[in-house]
Amino acid sequence: MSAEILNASLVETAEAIRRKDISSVEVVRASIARAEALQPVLNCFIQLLGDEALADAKRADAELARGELRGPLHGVPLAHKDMYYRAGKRSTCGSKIRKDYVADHDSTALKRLLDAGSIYLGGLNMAEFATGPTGHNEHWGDNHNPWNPEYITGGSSSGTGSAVAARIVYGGLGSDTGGSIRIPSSINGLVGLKPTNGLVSRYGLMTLSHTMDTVGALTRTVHDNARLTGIMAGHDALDPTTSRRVVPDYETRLKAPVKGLRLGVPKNYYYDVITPEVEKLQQDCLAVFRDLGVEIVEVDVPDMHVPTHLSNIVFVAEAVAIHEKWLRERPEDYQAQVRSRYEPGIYIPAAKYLRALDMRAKLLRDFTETVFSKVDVLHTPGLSMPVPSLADTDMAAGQGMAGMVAGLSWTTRSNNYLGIPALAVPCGFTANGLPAGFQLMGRPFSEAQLFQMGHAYQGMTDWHTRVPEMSA
Amino acid sequence: MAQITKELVLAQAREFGGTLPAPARAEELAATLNVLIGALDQASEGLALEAEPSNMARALDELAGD
Repeated sequence: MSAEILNASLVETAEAIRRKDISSVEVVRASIARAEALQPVLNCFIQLLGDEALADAKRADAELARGELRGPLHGVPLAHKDMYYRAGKRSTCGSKIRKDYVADHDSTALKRLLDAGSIYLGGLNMAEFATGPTGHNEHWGDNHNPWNPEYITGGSSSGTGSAVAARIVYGGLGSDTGGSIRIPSSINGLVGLKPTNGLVSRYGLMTLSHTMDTVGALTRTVHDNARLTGIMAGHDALDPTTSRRVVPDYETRLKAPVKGLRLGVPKNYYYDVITPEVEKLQQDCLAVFRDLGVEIVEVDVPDMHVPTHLSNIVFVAEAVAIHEKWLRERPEDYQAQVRSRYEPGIYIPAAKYLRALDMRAKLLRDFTETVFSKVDVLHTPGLSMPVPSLADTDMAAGQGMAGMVAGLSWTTRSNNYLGIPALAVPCGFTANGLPAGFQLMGRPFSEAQLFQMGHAYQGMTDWHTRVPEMSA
Repeated sequence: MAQITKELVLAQAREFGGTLPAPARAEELAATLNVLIGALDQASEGLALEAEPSNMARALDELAGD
């Protein structure tokens, strides 16, 4: 019964609770039981708040009995990367330095999910300070992949990838500054959205790079992701960088036909380092879109090394600004791997940082003109290689780490600099039994179209319904 | 712009405090930074620095596909 409850999608579960086919207490009890059973294997929680969640579930059921529905997530348990603030509650950011940090205000994105009726099951493990694409964490223990615990979960939203794929919760928040939602989505067989910069408020979370950080969700289905994004998106007076554009009804637009849309396949850069096995899965994926009546168009893309390099200038300069005091006074409290990622920022001239910021609009216009004048959506691989093992990527700050980081984020990093949205969707498994995925990218604020395309693909495939053996 | 050197990194690291990089690491950092800055200088060559904070938000808005 527990597997049946937890293997349903978020949208299905929310509807079942609303119809009173099942109670929130039953769902939350199942979530807690699975979280407790799998925590020794996956280590995906930093804080599992079972008692608090159960009390909230009882309140949710009582409200429903009185005919009160908080919103489209009423009674559904979620868990989130442990960097979203709740006033008066602990938020560790996966670090030693903030292991006892208690916020004095609420994250807007999280508050909107809670106001929509979701239940907070706990704070999830993550790369220290959201820095790192693998899921290693010396302070709280490494994250483990539910498809095979010897393999990485990806990062930095590692615990969210692991917990959602293991069917402990139906979805959860990650954050993405260079791929930190999309990499664990691809690696765990999930759907993850890096939204357009400015679509979702960043108020009330630990900053890493204030011009490139984005907030989004990891889920099992595109429909689930459309629901969570629709709830979180929109202007927030507490984050003046959020857009005032009207947020489309993403769920309604899911069913719009995709026939006749033009899907771009890049001729350069994105396939430069891909392995044959992953490339075959991308070709299979494109064949599905072709069967849906989508026109596949090969396109040249600008030299993506440029926005990638410029994003690295912005990233290290902004990260050092945030971490300066701690880097000076307690450098030994960082993992060597994380400290070494920030270190170049100490030596970047301010003029170069400002110049790199100034180039963003120009490169965004160049990319949009080059690509989206010819196609509606761009299709790229998610990860260029089969998922690596924890042992193969455990490099501390040693030789090869920079190359490993670059390889894992090859297809993701430039989006945060350009500000455009990207949706990661699972598309099969490689020979090692681990998932593979693809990405859909679009013009700024084109999330509705990305969801539409991803949803059509999931209507033709069943990768998103496959369940790791430990959760079956 | 003049290249960033190992010596510059080490001198700045002493001023910054925290962990002092070993000479080999300082050389690696200088090389990394020179690649990044070289890419920036090449991409921005001949372009005026506009330093207009609203440029990016306006570009996102004008290019929107919703």
